[in-house]
Amino acid sequence: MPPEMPEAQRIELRAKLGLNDDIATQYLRYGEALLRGDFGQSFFSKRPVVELFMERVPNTLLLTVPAFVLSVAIGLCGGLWAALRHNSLFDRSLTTATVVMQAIPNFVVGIATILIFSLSLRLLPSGGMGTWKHFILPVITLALATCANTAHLVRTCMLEVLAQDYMRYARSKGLSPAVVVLKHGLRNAILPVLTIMGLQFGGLVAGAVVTESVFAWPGAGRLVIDAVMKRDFALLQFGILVFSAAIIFANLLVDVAYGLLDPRIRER
Amino acid sequence: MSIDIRVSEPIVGETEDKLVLAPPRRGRPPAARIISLSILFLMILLALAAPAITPHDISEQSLLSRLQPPVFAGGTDDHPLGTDHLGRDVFSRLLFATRTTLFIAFAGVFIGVVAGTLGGLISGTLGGWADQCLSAVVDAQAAVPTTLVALTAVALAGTHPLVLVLIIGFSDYYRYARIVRGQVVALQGRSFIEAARCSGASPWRIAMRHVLPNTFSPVVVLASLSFAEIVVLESSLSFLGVGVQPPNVSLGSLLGEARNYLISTPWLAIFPCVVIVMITVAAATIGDWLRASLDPRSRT
Repeated sequence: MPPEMPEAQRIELRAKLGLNDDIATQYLRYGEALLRGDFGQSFFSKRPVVELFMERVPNTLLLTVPAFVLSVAIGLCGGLWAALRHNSLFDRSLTTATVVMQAIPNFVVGIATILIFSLSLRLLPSGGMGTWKHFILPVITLALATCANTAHLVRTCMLEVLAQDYMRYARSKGLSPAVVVLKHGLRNAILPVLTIMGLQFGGLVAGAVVTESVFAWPGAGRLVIDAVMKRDFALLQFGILVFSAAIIFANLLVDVAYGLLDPRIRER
Repeated sequence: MSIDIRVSEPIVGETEDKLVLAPPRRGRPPAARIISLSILFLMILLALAAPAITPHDISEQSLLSRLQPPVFAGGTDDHPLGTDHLGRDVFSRLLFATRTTLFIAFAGVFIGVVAGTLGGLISGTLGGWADQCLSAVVDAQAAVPTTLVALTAVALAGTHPLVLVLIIGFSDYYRYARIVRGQVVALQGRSFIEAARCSGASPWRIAMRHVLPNTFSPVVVLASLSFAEIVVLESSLSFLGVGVQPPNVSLGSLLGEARNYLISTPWLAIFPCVVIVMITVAAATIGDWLRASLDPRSRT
C-alpha cells in the first residue's frame, strides 16, 4: 500500500483482504481454502495465482527439461569416459572441472556466455524467448551447473564397480566391452547417481529462478522473484508449493526408477 | 549447485595409525593451493582495508562522468576501473562489495557451524523423541533447495542486513547437524566413551569433552566447502535484488546493476564476475584439499 493512500481506503482494503484477523485465523483460512482447491489470487493483478502460474510453467519446463537431459547426457558420457581412462589427462581435468564448476555461480556463467556469444561473437540473442536460438544460452547455462557433479559421481561409482570380480568375470566370458561396461558396469553404478539426480532436480529449479532472471526468460521462476519483490504472498506461497511438489515428485520418480533398475529392491 | 559431501568416519583411536601410514594422495599440484590461499588472503586483506584505500565514497555520484571506461581502456587515473551509470567509482564499489560479501559469508558459515553442531550434538546425545523431532526438521529443510528457502525467508522477514546474515547462516546448518549427529551416534559404542561413562562423567560432559572434539575435522571440511556455496547464495540473492540493498553493495548486487548495461559497458559486469569466481574457486579448491587431507576414505 502506498503511504499516500487515503486512510479510509486503507481500512477498506485491509478489511477486504482479511488482514485485520490475527495470523492464526489467516493461516487457518488459507489452509481451508487450499483443501477446497482455492489457492487465492494475486494481490496485485487480482487474478487467480493458479492461472498466473500455469501461463509461465510451460516456459520453465521448456528450459529445465532440455537442460536436465543435456546435463545427464554430458555427465554420463564424461563420467564413463573418465572412469575407463582412469588417471588420464581427461580424468584429471574432470576432477578439477568439478571443483571449479561447482564454485561458479549460475548467473556468472550466464553473463559470461552473454558476453562471449551475444556481445563479442554476435551469434546468439542475449535474452527473451522466440526462435530456437533463444534456447541455446539459457539451457547450456542451466546444464553446466549440474553436469560436472553428475560426471564426477558417475566416475567415482564406475571406478568402484570396475574393480569388482564380476566385471573381470564378464570380460573373461568374452562379452564385448560395450556390454561389459554398459550392462554389467553402468547398471550397477547408476543407483547413487540416480539419488543425486533427484536432489539435483531441486538445484535445477533454483537454478532456473536465477537463469530466467539473467536471460529475461518469461518463466515461473521470474514470477516468484517478482512476488518476493512485491511481497505478493499468495503468489509466492503457491510458487513455493509448486516447486516443492515438483521436487517431491522428482524424488518419487527416482525411487520408482530404483525398483526398475535393481531387481533386489523390487523383491523387497 | 550442491557440492557432493562425503564425510569421513571418525578419525579417532586405532584409525589414526593407519592414517599416518596411508600413502599421500596424488592430488592437484600444490601450486593451485598456494595460489588459492594467496587469493583468499589478498581478498580478505583488501576487504579489511577497503575504507582506507578506496579513492571515492561508494555513493558519491557525478552524472557528468558517468560510464567512464577503466584506465586500460582509455579512462582516467581518477577512476582506475571506470564509473557506473551514476558516475560512481567502480573500484571503490568493488572493494566494498567484496567486503560485504566476505563478511556475510564468514558470518553465515559461523552461524551455520554453531547452530548445526549444537543441533546435531543435542539431537544425538538426547536421542528419543527430541532426536526424531530435530531430525525431521533437518530432513525437511534438506529436501528444499536453499535458494527457495532463502527467498521465502526474505519475503517474510525483509532485507535488513542482520536478517540476511541470519537467513544465509541458517540456510545450510542442517548439513552440520546431520554430520555431527551421525558422529555422535557412531561414537557411542567406542571404548573411550564407555570409559568416560564408567568413570561417572555426565552425558553433557561426554558430549562436550569427548564427542565434540571428534567432530571437528568433518565440520571443518564441510565449512570450507560450503564457504563457496554461501558466497554463491548471497550473490545470487543480491543479484536477484532480494539480498543486500542499496546503498550497501555486494558482488551480486553490483552484477545485478551491471546487467542492464551489458551491451554498452560490459566491464561493469566483468569485474564483479571475476572477483566472485576468484573467491569461490579459491575457496572450493582449499575445501577440496582439506577434504582430501582430512578424509581418510578419499585417500585411496
